[in-house]
Amino acid sequence: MRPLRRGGDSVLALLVLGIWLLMPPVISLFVRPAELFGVPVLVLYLFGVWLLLIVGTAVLARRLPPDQGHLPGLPRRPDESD
Amino acid sequence: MLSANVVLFTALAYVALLFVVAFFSDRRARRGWLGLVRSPIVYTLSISVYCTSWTFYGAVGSAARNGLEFATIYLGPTLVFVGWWFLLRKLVRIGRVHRASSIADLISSRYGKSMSLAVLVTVIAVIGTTPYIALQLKAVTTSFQVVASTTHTALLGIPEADLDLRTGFWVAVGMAVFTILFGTRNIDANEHHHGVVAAIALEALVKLFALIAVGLYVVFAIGGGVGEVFALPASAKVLGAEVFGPRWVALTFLSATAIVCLPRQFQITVVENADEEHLRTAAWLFPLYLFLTCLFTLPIAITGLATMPAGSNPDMYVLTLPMLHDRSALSLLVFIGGFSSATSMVIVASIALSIMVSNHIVMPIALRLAWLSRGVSGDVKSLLLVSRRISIALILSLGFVYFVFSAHSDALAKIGLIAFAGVAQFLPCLIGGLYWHRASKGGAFAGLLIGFVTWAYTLLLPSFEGGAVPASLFSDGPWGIALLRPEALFGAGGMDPLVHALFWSLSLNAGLFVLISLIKDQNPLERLQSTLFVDVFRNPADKESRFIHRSAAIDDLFVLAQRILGAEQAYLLFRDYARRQGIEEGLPRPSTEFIAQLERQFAGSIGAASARVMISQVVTGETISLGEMMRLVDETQQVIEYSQQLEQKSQQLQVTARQLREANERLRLLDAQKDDFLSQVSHEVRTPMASIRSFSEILLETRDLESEQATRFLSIIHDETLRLTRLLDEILDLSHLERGELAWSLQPLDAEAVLDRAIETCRGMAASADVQLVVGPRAGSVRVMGHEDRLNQVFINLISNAIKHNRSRAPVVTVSSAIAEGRYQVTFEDNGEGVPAEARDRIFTKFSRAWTQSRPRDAGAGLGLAISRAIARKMHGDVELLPAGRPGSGVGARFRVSLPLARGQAAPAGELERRAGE
Repeated sequence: MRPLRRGGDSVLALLVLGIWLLMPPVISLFVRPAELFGVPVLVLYLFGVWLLLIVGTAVLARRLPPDQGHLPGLPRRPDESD
Repeated sequence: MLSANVVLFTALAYVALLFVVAFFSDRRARRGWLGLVRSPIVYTLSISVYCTSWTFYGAVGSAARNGLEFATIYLGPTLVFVGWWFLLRKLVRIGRVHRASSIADLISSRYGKSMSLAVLVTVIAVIGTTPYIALQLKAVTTSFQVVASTTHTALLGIPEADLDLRTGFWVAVGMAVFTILFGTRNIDANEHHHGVVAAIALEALVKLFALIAVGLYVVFAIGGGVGEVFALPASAKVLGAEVFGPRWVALTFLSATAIVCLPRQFQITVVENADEEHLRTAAWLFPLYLFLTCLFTLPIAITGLATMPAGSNPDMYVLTLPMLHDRSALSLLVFIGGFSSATSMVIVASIALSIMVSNHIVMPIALRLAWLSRGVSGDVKSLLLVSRRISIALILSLGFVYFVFSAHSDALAKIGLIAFAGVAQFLPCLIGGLYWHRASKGGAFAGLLIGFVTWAYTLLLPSFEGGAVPASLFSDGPWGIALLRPEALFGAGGMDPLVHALFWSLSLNAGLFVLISLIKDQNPLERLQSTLFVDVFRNPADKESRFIHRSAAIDDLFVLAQRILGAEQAYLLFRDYARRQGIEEGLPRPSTEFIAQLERQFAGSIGAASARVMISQVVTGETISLGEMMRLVDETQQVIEYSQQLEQKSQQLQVTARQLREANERLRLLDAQKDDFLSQVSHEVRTPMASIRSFSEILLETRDLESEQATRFLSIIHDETLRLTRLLDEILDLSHLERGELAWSLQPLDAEAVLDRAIETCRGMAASADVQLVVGPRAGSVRVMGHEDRLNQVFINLISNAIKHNRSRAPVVTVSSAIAEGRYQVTFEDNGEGVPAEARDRIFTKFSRAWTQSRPRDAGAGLGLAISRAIARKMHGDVELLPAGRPGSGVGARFRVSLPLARGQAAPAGELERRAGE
């Protein structure tokens, strides 16, 4: 996949979305006695959003550009240090 | 039921396994086989040291008491890892560039390598962590007694009074041995403990496996399915708790803070990080680990509440549920899982704390008291090793003592969140230090201090309520001052105690931090460090040498390196650098760069502050070049500005390029039109010329031509000449019109009268073409600014066009006029076929005759519309082709002439229109 040029922006968007979905009042909307497949909707919602964030982060992490000047594995012995 | 011996044996065998794994990983790593030991998976698993026994046992307990609230402890870290790009990435980069050995080291390094700040952070970390270690010891002790008990009453949980402290003691001893063996084998330049990390990763797998196993067992073997579990009445009770209030937000925030600020998390995430790219995997894999950890928490809590005997301790459900059903193997697995989660936390926390204590408390004291004046090779190194080993033993003893004293109360249960809130005090100065240039040492110190004191007063102190602290302190406040009551500070009562403490401690902390940072100026070293930290992605650390100029005798440096790193490592380091300077034999030149690199190397071992002190002992003439530093800041600013300018420029260039392309397009079109025009003109001229020539040739060559015929030929020649003249007149006319050379005076005139005249002129033509010319609604008397003859020409042209090109069987041409939108509008409509869609665009161009090309030459040269439009535009009006009517509607082409009204023609448009309709 093509690396994202402005990767940070999409990470920020996902983060803000996650906070918005997981904080009241949005999460309180799901406090209701309804059930889906025998599981309360609140539980499904919470774990669903959680999974969404995980998948979203995995996709973005793959597409974010590698850091410039990134420090790879540090040398094992000081004689090999930078 | 399991016997105590079996449990003990299993636990010992498990510990032995950990030793083996740690030993072999360490050995592999030492030989340079880092592959497996240092993979992103191992990195992620080791981060899960976050999940202690407080998670393993406590999450279910929390869910049984407060429903979904338990999830906040894992949602906070999830959000931090989702946003890894901003905070964690920067933290890891800074930690690696500056060789931070602990969170205290990082904070001290940022604020001008301040020793006092490092000491304060260390003290807070020790105070916040010790009770947490005690909590782990308690969990192991309790779970051991439960799993090894012979009676069923143990299922209720062990009463605090019956806790066997010996178990806790031996666990503490075992952990101390393990940690000392693998955590202080060497003073690694990078503070990497490969063996420990491998063991922690294994423990992470064991605890997750145990939790999932017990979860599956509870849901499917005991409960009979997910739906069945949630159908239990206990489910409604668990989920019915009102949890989405301020406490939900506060807890999520707190746990997000903890994953960054907890010393053990910092140790694993930043210090032990082997490759920055590992964070990319951990960013989603660690949240996934947390997700799986929490997946079965609710079902276990619900099943426990529903099936365990009344009075059972919910904190032990994970263990007692399988025991109730006599699943010995599973119970043993759960015990080992809980044991894993407790031990991994204890090991990493004590390593992190021991590094802090030795680097930031023992070293400064040693330097101050000149213990190290002998200057023997490796003396600093051995002092560090010894002090770390002693610190580990001391920290674990402290934890054990705390456990003994609080074992018989329930003070420990709450300590998890209290510890989180304690280390949360690092947040303002950490975040400020990472993103705010002005953040200063004074601000950081004051903020930390006030935050810590407030935390201790409002949260830690109340946890001892009923013990050493008199109850009157809580009800009346100290010395009877109600405003200072610990749980209702400044009268802020009625809040959840945790939210209350968090609010006051963090807002006072951050407030003071910002205030003092704004008031107090930074010293040069602070300013340099702030630039290096905040702009870490722009400035490589080795730029440091540009700003600090100092010199030293190379022998002194070599002695110092031997003392801190040991003889062998010092030799290798110096040899390597000498080679890089092109010196094959002997010591390198003591350049500023080399001294800077050496200081960073030392910082990795003894902390930035101590490294600086030790280097300054042998260095002379240190100056921090402010000018250079300002230049660095300027450079950074310039780079930002340049890139912004570049971006702007490139946008402008794009716009210009687009405009140029459009202009070019127009030019091409015009060029093509010109070519068309020329060829059309020659064509139009050629046809009459041809007939003139041929007829005149006949007249010249044929002597005996009948005069009648000759007259006919002459009249044809005359006609063609007239046509030619007309054509050339039209072309001239048009070119004058277009170039604007004709100077007309626009005069007010009665447009309706002109229109009437044009209609009358065309009546004869209409009659001969059998076209019905209908006059529709009219505007009445209208004054417009214009030229009468020219306007007449336009009208006639449009009417005759409509007559000529109307191919309808019963051709009708309708002329109507009105005043609309403040303009005089005349519409010419016919019921022919209309203008073909593809021709609509170009009918106003010269010689277009778009829709008549296939027809006999019944039209003029195709200049009429172009001329009409040019005339109308001269009069500030226009000629337009109106949108085509629907096919079959009987509406063909519709042209509209619109002209501005003469000044003074101010009659309301509505009235005029109405009049027009009459």
